[in-house]
Amino acid sequence: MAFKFKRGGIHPADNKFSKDSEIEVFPISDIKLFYFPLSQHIGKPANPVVKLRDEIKRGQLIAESTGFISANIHSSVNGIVKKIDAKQIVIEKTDDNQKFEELKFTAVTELAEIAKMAGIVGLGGATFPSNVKLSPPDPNKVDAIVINGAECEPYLTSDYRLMLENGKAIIEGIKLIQKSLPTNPKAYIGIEKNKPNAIKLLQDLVLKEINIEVAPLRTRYPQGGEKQLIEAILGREVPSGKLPFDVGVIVHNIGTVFALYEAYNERKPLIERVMTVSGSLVNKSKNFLVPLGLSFEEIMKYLEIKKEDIVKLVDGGPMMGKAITDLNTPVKKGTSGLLFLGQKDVKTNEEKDCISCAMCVDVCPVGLLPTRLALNSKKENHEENLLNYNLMDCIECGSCSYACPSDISIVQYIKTSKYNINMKKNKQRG
Amino acid sequence: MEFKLKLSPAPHIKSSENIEKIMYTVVIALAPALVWSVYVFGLSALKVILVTTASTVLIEYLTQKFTKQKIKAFDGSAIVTGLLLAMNLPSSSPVWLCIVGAFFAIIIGKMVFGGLGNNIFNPALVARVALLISFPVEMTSWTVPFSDSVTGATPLATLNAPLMDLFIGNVGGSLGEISTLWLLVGALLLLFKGYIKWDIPFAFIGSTSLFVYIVNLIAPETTPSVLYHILSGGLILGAFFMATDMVTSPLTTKGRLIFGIGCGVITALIRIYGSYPEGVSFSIILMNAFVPMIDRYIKPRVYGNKG
Repeated sequence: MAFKFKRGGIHPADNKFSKDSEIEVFPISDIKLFYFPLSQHIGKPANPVVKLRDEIKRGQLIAESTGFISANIHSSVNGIVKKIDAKQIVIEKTDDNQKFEELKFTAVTELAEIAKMAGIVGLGGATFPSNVKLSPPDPNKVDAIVINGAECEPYLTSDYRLMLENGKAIIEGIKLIQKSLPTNPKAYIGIEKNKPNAIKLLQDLVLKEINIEVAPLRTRYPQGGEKQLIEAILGREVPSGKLPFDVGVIVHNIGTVFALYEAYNERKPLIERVMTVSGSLVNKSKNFLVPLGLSFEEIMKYLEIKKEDIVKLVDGGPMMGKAITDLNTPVKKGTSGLLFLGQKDVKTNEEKDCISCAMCVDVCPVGLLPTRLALNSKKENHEENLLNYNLMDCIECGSCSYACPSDISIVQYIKTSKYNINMKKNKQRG
Repeated sequence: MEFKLKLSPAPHIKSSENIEKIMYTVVIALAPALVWSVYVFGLSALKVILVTTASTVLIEYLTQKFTKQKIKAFDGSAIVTGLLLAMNLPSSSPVWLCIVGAFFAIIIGKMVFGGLGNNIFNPALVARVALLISFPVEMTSWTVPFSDSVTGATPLATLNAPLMDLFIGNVGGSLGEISTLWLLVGALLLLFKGYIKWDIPFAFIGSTSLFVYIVNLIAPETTPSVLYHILSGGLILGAFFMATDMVTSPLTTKGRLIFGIGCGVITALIRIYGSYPEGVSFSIILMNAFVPMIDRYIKPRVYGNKG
């Protein structure tokens, strides 16, 4: 028995090489520099509240949220501010003491406020500020919560390990979210069937809970997309241009739930996260608990990977992750994985003409005509895409590009179209 | 040496499907019927197959070379066009006919549009129709199976071939249209791989059958039985291998069903009321013309939107 979204999707090889690898604390005793970009979230970048050469404690607020959609940023290490510029704050670590500065709140502080203080954002990769999600405009409308434990991207296993190793904390975190809403909505934990151990463990943990249920999901990408989760588990469809809230649902990633629990229970700000390190260049794929701000280069050195061997470095999963060109890029709040890809993982062939095979149409979970969207985008006919081909409904999952036998970067053309339309809209607003 | 990391947009993994794989799988699917045609018609069939296919590939290669385009002549699509064209020719076709056909198929049917993916009409059918109209005698000189004699009769003309002969392919006709059995074997491979779908063959064959059935109901003996129609005249070849051509068929299931029904009805109309005994090629080309319009108006319902 498994829930599934109605159409399309793809099934690339799981490659969950790190699934049996227990979460390991990444050793940072030899590492000096930590980098904190001011924008690690959707919304306005944070504003620094520290100065050059300030002494910083682990857990201390170093940049504060600006505006309704923004997030606080905290240091993950004790140290001294080495550099501040428009993009990031660099801190030089002075010692490895793990004690952190605790968040200050009372017994009556709302969960959303705690989340805001802690700088918690969606850890599945979207990095939407959680405090906004936790304070819906009309809380009485929410009748269901979906917890995203699908982890449908190949390679990534951080959410899986979190479920196995911190199951109880996650259940407590879910209860916190439920209690924060007047409707005490039912929670559904969506987990793909390729993670039977996690399904079993959480099912046992919620046996006595009448308001929490585990929803096993068919293993198919992009089952972890929030619209697909809502369609599969609840049979509801989010209207075009609207949010899950508009059908009475709020979706949270399992890592976010754990971070909320830690913030509430241990007064811990968001300063570290679990990430999967994998790829054909990694001998033993692992799940690390890393402090935010850790440079990718340090991870590469620790795993003894030769930089000349790396063909592609991907921040995130292989379907939606971002190719990185600067080794000195840091781990950010949304970094769920790091993939060291070698020659055999990476094939780029030249784009050929579309042969209308319609494989992209078959795999699109939204029901778009990706081939047409790409063709119009190439001809710079972006208005046509918007008016007649439902451009804005694309969830950018990349299934179309994956399936295309002509090696057309379909989703990239679609993103270009969206960008053009948005630029025009912004210009009109003046 | 400067150290560089590859930068390209997501996704960073790809399915193993590519154009060559699709084309060469079609070649394999056509093989059983092609081998059978050589068995039935002898070496002249082999000559037609080889000359036609070599011509299509060579003509595409030369066109791309002389117009300084990227050479794509070996991606498999020219071979498929050559084989499909051969399957539409009688085994008695002279060499020059095969070459002229290849020219029509590749130049008129494909290259002038911009090459693979840009053509509107099925290239092999463009050639077949052009040859039929230009050289009607050569295009209707059918060899009697297992012999050397040439007649003008095919099952749709004589209307008296036994059904089992039609199914297995012990009848006269073009190379590819005679054996339902071996065509279906090949079609099964393509269906299994997902390179063709059930919708077009079902709609095509179904609507021809329905039309024939109704006509015979209203005016008995107007035309042979439904089964006779299905098993003869390249309906199986057309419905499974020609109408299903990716480039020239619609993008959606609904669109493909409409397309298939159009093909089926026009085929039946021509066969019953037209002067030609055969309607499949014409029906597919006519429906090809409607595909851009079908794709413009028939779209799936998008998530979050009303239909």
